Amino acid sequence: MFFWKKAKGERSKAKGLDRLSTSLEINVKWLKSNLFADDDTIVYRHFRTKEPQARQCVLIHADNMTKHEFLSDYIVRPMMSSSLPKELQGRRLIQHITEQVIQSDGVAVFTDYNKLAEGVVAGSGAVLVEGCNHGISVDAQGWERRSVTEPQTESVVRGPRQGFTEDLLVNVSLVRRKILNPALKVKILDVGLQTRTKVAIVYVEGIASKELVDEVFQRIERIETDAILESGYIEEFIRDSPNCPFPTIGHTERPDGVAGKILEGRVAVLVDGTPFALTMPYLLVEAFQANEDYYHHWIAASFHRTLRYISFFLTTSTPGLYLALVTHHPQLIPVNLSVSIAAARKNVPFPAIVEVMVMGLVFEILREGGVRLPKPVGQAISIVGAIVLGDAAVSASLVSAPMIIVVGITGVAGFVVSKLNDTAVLIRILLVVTSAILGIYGFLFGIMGIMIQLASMESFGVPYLSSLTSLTIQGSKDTIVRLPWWRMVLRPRHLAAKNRERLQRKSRSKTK
Amino acid sequence: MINESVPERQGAALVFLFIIGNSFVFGLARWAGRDLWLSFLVAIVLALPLILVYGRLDTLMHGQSFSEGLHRLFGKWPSRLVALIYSFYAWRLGCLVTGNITNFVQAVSLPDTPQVVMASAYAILVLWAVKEGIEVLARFSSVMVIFVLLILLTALALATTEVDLQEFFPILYDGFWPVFQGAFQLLDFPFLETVLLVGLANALTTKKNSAYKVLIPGFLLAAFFLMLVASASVAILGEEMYKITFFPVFLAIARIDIALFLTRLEVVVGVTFAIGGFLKISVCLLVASKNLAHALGFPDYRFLVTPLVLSIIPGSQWFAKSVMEMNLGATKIAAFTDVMVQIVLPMIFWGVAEIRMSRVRKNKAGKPSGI
Amino acid sequence: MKKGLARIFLLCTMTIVTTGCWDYTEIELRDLVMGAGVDAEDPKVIVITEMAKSIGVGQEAEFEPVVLTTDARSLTSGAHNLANPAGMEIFWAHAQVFLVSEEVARSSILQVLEPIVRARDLRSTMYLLVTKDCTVEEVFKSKPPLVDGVSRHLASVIRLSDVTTDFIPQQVWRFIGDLSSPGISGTLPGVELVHEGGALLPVVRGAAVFKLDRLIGWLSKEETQILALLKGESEGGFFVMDTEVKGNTFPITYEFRGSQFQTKPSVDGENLRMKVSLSLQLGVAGVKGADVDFSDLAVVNDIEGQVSRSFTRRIRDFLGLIQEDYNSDIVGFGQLLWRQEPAIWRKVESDWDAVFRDLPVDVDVDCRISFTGFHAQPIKVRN
Repeated sequence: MFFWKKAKGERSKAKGLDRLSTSLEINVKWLKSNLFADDDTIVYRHFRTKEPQARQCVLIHADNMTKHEFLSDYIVRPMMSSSLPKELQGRRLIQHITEQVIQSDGVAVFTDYNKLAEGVVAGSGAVLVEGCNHGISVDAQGWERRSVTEPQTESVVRGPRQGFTEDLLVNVSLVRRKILNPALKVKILDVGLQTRTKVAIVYVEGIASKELVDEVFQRIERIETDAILESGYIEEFIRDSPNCPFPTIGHTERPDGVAGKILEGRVAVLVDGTPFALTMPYLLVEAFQANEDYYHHWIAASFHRTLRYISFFLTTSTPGLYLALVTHHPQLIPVNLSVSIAAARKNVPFPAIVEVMVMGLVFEILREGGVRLPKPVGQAISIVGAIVLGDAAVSASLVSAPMIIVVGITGVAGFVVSKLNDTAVLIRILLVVTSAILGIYGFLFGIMGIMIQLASMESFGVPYLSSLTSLTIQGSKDTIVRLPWWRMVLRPRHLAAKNRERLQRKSRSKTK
Repeated sequence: MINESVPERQGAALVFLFIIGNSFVFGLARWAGRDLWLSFLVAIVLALPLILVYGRLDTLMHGQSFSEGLHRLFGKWPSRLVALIYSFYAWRLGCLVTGNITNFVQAVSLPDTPQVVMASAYAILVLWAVKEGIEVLARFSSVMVIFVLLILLTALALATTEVDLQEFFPILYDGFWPVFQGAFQLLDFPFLETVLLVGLANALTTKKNSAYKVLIPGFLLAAFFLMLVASASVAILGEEMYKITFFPVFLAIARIDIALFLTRLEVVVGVTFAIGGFLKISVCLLVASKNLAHALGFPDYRFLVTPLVLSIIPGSQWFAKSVMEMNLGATKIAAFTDVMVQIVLPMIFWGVAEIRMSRVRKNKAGKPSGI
Repeated sequence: MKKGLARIFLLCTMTIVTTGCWDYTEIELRDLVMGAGVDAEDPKVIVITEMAKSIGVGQEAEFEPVVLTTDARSLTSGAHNLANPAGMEIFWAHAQVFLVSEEVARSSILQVLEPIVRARDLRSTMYLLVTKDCTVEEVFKSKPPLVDGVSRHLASVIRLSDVTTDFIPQQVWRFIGDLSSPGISGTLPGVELVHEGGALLPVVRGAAVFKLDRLIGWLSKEETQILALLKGESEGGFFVMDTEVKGNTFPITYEFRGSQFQTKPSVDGENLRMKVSLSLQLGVAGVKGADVDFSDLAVVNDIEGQVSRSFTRRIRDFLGLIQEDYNSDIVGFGQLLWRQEPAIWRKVESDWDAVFRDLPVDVDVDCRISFTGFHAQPIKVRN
């Protein structure tokens, strides 16, 4: 990959001046004509400190990125009402202001324009004082934030109603609220040459292996791209098997989901500006897990898990199997069923393979159309889909009725495992093609190919199929079934190799 | 202690599928007829010591591949010759299994599809899998073994309504000879084909002595499972039908008819055959290319995989020209090589290796400084 | 670069190898055979198939049976000849019944069985039947009252074997097993055409007795009942017997509720004997016009004795028929001997026919009435 070959220090610098001048006028002029040229949202608030030692000051901040009351109450007012000692100059004066005048917990002193500009665009207020070549940057971030609401994509019947927001620090705080333990570590990196997006790497020290954390760090640090607008950018840059449609990095909108994952030894990556956190390594079983599984009775949860596996099988395999059985092996269909399928297909002008392909395509079109449409229009789509394409097509003998059922099963089952929806579509097409060629054996070859691919995949050094391949009870406690919590004695082997016990000895049997 | 997921189990799953592989659809121990369960018991008792020898060889060659171990034992040229023999044996077995499957599929469900198409489809998958290596094969089999066990045991459970235990009587009416005939056939195919896994089993795990934990459970499970399937087939079909059909298990499962709905389950036999056969071909080709690389003196085997795998397409047609041929089983020459490869040569390796080891140990005891 | 080449090569192989769907046939282009049969017409055979022809469209689709007939030198070639008149690929795997005419069965049933077992798509789970006093073609052309198609009708009748003992169903593979096992001969259920309300109806009853691969005679419905009991295949069914209660004779209907059956060979010096002990659980299903008090144990015991004696007599008659008249071991005494006393079987194996003809059989029937319906006493009619 060529993008990280560029030296890191090549970030563009302002030409000419880069250190602050002692003259306030020059400073402001320089800012207005260079760094903040053509930017009308930058506010320059000029004021003077109290007599007798009145000094000209300016507060620079970006409009709506800051809290106005905060700036006026804790910066402008105390400065205007204090008189600065005469003997103080330059750096000592600035130190005096930060220590005794400005009433804020986040202040930093800077000496060059770039630092100033970076602070201002990130939402802090910069104070410059006449006669000083130092400036003060005060944390005053305050912009419109979406409140913490229930996530749309992962709603639960039982479980916390919190979801991540677009604000990184809020998100980190949501995770920290779940794990009140200093071992929870959060490291923040800036990624993106233009966007300088803040990216937090969150893990629990002592559970997550050192190598894994280092690996995540290295992979993220190697990213040198213009923009990180969503965590999906990072996912694509750092994931394993980038050409395989199976996800090797997970994403979630739920703080409890992230907490659960990092407590098993995973690493989470939170990105500023998106509510979707990444978790890694990501194994195949996780696509079939929902965080609600852990809140319900274990038998019910296991049942739902099983249902998801069955649904995934149905959504990927129904069209292929139908095709294989109907066109290659009618002897495997019970007599009456094959007789009625033959009757239903009698006047249909298309071969079964065309029928399967076209109906599958139509379903995907309907789904894609429905996803991004506004809700009121979306209903029209389902009416068109249900009535026009379903009923009318059968009455007109364009499509056979069994085919509609096949497409229906495929579609509905696909919604159950939503994390693998896009993967399922591709697998489905593959299986339809192989089944058309070699019947049930073609279908099997397709499945075996997928299994070889899955068996060869890894996510951050962990085999993608691990825990499905363990063949022991402790190894598969959280796969197709979920054992009760008092039986999940160990953390997953591949994730937390060194610190495995998560259940203390006395609670290993049912607590009475 | 709490059981952990250990790669030994993956290895055992691989051994299990390797032995089940292509064998279970055929009328195993056909000569023994209704006494075939006795054949199985005899064959298991006879095979166990040999499997233990394989495990011991594995342990002695710890950390090395089969051909490296040979090299250490016999030196350059003899080891190359032996590696060539094993390479050919593995390649021939791979071709046979491919031929079995293509013939089975053509005979049972896809009469118009040319066999070469099936063989090519297999070749492509096997090529992929062999290039990925033994770990991937082990993971593959540990997922598939669950499938295979689940569907076959379900099918057998459903078939219990058709089972008639009277079919096993009278016991030993025709004397012991057919039982031994059946047992020897079982030893040759499929039990002692496990010899190919020597040198592979320990690639799966870094622990010492774990070869036994891979080979023994895998072998025993597979042997008992095959016994169960074959006995159930006899009890369902009766001895005569078991003897006269090519694929008795297929026919036995086809008997199932529950409420007109749970019927026509014979497809599960095809599924198992296809999966197990695939694994067996892959292992054979892996062994063949590794040994061939050693025989020809190449340090890396990977570039040999493609030509060898592609050669099974014509090979399968050559070694299994028709259903009758593959069903009649090994010819005399094949039987001779089988005995050599499965029994005689491993015993020689074992003897030589033990003598060398004890010498090394003696030397160590005599000269504490070591060699 | 190398990898790219390998991939291109693979892609090419795949396209070359897989551009074809050799076994791809649309299901509506296959002619689904529901049942088939063979009539004899020396030196040729006539192959008859009943196929499903769909009429109507979409949701209103229905099926109509169509019977096709052809003559050929063998069953297999006849089956293939049918594709021409049918105009579609013939698909055999759904055939449920296979009918053989008596004539064919008398010459040798192997000529029919052999192609069935050999063929890939003919399932050996088909039910075999022999037509009695009619040809296969006539049976297929009859009109069953409720079900469309004779094959479906016969298949559903055969599934009644749980509640009736008029016949013993036989699948192809099991029949072959009987033919090839030592010490047992096979039977097949018979099909007759019966006039009923002006129409001809196919009825399954009785059994065709085989010796080796040839049909040698028939068993009536009642004899088949006994055979089913002796083979342990009786699971249900009713029979009527004139029973004497307190000096009066009534026809009472009994229901089979279960039977245990044991046959034991015993050797006394050079003489081989068979001991058949049968215990029957019966229910009373109906009493015609009488006041029989089943709460009176003496009455019940008396009835049980009568039924036992009646069954003993029927079994003796039946054994006489198969031992002397047919000399065909359809009960499987020889097989039993083989399984339980292999040493004796070894001695008699070579001339089992003669031994079987003269085999003394002790019959011991024990009968219990275990259920009398919901009434302990008959309905009393008073003035």
